[in-house]
Amino acid sequence: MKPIFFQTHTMAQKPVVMGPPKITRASKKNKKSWRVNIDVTEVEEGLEEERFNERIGGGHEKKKDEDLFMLDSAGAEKENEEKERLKKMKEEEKKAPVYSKNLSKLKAKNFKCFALLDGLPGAEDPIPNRKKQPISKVVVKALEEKDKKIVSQIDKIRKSRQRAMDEKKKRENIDEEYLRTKFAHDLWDDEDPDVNKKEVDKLLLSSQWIKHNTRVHIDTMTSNKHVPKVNMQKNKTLVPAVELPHAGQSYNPSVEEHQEILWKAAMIEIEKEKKAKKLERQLTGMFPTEDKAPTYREYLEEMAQGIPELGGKVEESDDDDDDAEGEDEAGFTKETKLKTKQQRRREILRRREEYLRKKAKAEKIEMDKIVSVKTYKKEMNATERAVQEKRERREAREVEKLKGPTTLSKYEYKPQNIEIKLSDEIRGNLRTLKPEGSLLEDRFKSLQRRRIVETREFQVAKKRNAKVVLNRKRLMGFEEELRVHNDRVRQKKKNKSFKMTKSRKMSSTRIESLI
Amino acid sequence: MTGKKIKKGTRGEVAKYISRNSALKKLMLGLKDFRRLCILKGVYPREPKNRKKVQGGSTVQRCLYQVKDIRFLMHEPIIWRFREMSAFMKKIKKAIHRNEKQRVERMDENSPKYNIDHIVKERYPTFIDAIRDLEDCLCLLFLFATFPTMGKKVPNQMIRLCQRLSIEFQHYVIEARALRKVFCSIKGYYFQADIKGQTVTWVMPHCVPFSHACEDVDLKVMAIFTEFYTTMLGFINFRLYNSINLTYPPKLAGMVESNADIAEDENTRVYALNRALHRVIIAEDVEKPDDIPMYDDDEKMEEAKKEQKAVESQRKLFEGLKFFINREVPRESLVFMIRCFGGEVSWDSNCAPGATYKEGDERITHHIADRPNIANKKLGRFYVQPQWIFDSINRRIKLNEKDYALGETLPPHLSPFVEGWRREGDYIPPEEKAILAEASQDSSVMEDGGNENVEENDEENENGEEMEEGEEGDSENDSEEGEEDSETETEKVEEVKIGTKAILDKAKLKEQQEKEEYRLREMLIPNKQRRLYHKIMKTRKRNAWEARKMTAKREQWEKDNAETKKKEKAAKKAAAKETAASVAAAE
Repeated sequence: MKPIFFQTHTMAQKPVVMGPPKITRASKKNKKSWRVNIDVTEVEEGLEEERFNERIGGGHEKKKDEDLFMLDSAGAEKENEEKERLKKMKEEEKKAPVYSKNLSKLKAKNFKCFALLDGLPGAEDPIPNRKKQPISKVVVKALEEKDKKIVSQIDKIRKSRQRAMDEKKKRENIDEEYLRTKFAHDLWDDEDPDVNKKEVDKLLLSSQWIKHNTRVHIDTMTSNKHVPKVNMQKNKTLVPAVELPHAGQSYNPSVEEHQEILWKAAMIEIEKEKKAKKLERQLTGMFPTEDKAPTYREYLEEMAQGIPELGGKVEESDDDDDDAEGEDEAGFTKETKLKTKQQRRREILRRREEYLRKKAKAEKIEMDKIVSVKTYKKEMNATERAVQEKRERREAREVEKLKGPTTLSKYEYKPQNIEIKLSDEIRGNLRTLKPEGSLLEDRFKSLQRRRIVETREFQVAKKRNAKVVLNRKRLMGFEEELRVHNDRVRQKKKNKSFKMTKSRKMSSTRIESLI
Repeated sequence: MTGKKIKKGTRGEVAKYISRNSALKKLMLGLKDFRRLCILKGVYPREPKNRKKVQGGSTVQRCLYQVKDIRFLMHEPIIWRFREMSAFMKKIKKAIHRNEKQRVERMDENSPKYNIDHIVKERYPTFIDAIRDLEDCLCLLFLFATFPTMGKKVPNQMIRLCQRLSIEFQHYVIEARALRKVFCSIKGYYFQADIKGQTVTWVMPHCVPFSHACEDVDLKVMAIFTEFYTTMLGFINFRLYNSINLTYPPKLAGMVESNADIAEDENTRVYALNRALHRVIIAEDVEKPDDIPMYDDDEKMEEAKKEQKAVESQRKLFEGLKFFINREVPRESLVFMIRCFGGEVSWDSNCAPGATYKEGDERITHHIADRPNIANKKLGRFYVQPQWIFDSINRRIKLNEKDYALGETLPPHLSPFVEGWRREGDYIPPEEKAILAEASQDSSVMEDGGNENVEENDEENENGEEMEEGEEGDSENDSEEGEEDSETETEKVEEVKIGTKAILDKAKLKEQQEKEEYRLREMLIPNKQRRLYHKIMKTRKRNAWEARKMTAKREQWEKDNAETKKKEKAAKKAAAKETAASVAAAE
């Protein structure tokens, strides 16, 4: 196919009319009629062709053979050429600012549209000495800035991508699965955990003159965030991880040891029973049962006690009270006697003597105190000893507490049952041994006993959108009658069958008697 | 001038504690993640000294954490992973609901994972720390290794990992000959091993199907613990293996890494357990006791040396012996025990893979069976019940096989852990005494007669010595007597107690039961009458005691006066005769 440029521009063909050509005359009076009636296509085409030839660098008749035709040499060279071309493009790309990079990439694909943009080959600039207009500085700057932005963005993306790849690689190195299954290095290779720390930090942080707060401050300020290395809060429980079994829990225990553990278990059960009984006594036991509950009549009778109008009895102790009151009133009316002068003097004397006696006694006691230092020492020792003992007891109590579970949540710890085999369940051989208890439960409860896991209870999740279904009964009015009728029919049947059996029995007895 | 007003709740006990909800808020985690984090990091809820003060006057039992702990948790980088994971879960759920399969696949591949190596290191800064805390880890992993497929809460992968790690650990114990004590209880097998100088005890469940009976147990929590412990045991195993010149991970025979049924794994586990591991360098790593005095006391030093010797001999207890396990005997535990002391084991190849020799092998020394009798017994081997192994390990010598023969009523299986509990002068059951005495005599028989293996004599000697020092001082002096003598002796002891066996046994049992019932009745006496009851009983006892005293006195008196009486009688008689004679003479 001919390239588009070489398509010949033929004259516009006119409809061929048969017969001698008609001479048509048209006016050429003004410009308009000229335009309408005179055919200028030939001229225009000629001009067009001339311009076209100008664009493509002259008509092909003017061109040399080498320009028009080319020798198809081996494919390899062509490839090389292609490669070179691409290389060139890339180099250009590198040099070129980023905003033009995408464009050049597209250009590399040889789209026709871009070929056209490049201008036609061979056309000379119509203005031979054209001065290239420089792009304004503002525009260049803006473009450059844009360029930088794009570059930074691209860098960011590239980096993040790299990071993701690295992480993935790391992950692949560690493990594919969610649990670690490969253990290929010694975790405790460097036993000293402080080896990797910086020397300065070490000096600073280990210095005994620096206070804790300052140390934290230094840490945070030097972006060496203060990370507590070891959890200082240790679990204080005294319950061992594996509680050793009682000797009576052997699969083939000795009698004494077995009895011992049986007793242990029995004691626990007895305690439980006692508690249950106590609860029963104190709660349900306090109230009468339904058949012994007081009736309304009894209630009324009780309420009417002491009201004779309602038929209740009246207690007869009221009179005595009245008498007592009378006596009291009499006491109030007693007159106070005035003291005589002599009496007053004597009283004063007595008081003074009393005062002096007391003073002397106090002095004597004070004197005695000095003498009885020994007894005081004894007393002090005794109190000290008492305090000491009290403290020891308290400490012992606290230690004892640590040997058991504690309440860490609102649910109480429920102790495990002791695993025992009753005397008749012991087989004495391994083959028929049926294990007691569950080790899983044992482990779980042990965690609770050691205060590692708080006690919990399974919560049953409520159904949020439970549908309410109305169970309607559509009564039609005749149900009662129907029921009565059915009952009657049933009764009849029963009677009938009863009669039948009776008659059959009668007959059988008769037969027996006959025999 | 007034001081600065202190804001409420910022000082003292209140400021030290934080409720769980506020901890969640502070860490910006959900409850599930928080629990996981706490378990992994070893942070537990605390009970304050004064709950009322801490909780602002309320006495409701709330779950409280220490602020220090929470601050410690805040620095954990794993938290970021948890957050990522929760975001990831949202995304993937969305994708699943939109049915975007490709997206789900891609997301699955890139799902966030976390690594807890550093936490293991942090919680156990040194290797010995880790071993000190090994007990919990072992119990849990050995338990999980027996699980069937459990569904979502415990993934199969975890169970399989537990199986692998537990077997690897067992292999270490075998290779290091570290096992010391065994106790077969009704709950499971208790093992005690000496690992790097630390006593480690763990439980292995009996070989019975798993029952889903316990509802109280939160399996999810247990799974998190197991997750941590698997990583821990993995690294411990690595180091332990390296310490005895074994390559880690070992190539375990018969262990298939496929997603095969877990149910069948018990057999393969035993198969793996019965094969020796490949050692890089075969070296005698027997530590010789140093002569550096550890104790000031010479006696203590001597004791320590003796103990060392005893342990050394215990390690070689089953060396040179060949065992055959009958099909009804639990294989896994017994293979482990026997191989820990140098024995060789095999079983019927029809019932499980991994048998190394056949039943007919003539070199078999012990045939372990747990049935009343076997039809075709072979000569030249002992037929014993499995308890022989447990008791021999605990006593550190090979016990008399006759006592554990098939069909024999076994002596009670006593707990090896009890010794530590007993103080001096405590009661020791007569059965244990008898066994101790017998054991010491056994060794002496070996010395004297030498009808059994000559090779073992040395060990037995040592054992004898060690038993002596382990025992109470009274029972071992008469160890020169022979085996038969010992039997008669035991019979004598029984005679003193119960006389003829068959009849008195029942009577004794009945009596015991009656006593038990009586005691129970006694316990149920109401408090009001209890004091009176005790008074009555006391007076009765006193009376009885007095009566006994009196009778004893009387008897003593009679004994003393018997001779004098006789003399008197004789004298009287003589006097009477004399008088009679004199009378007669007079007449």
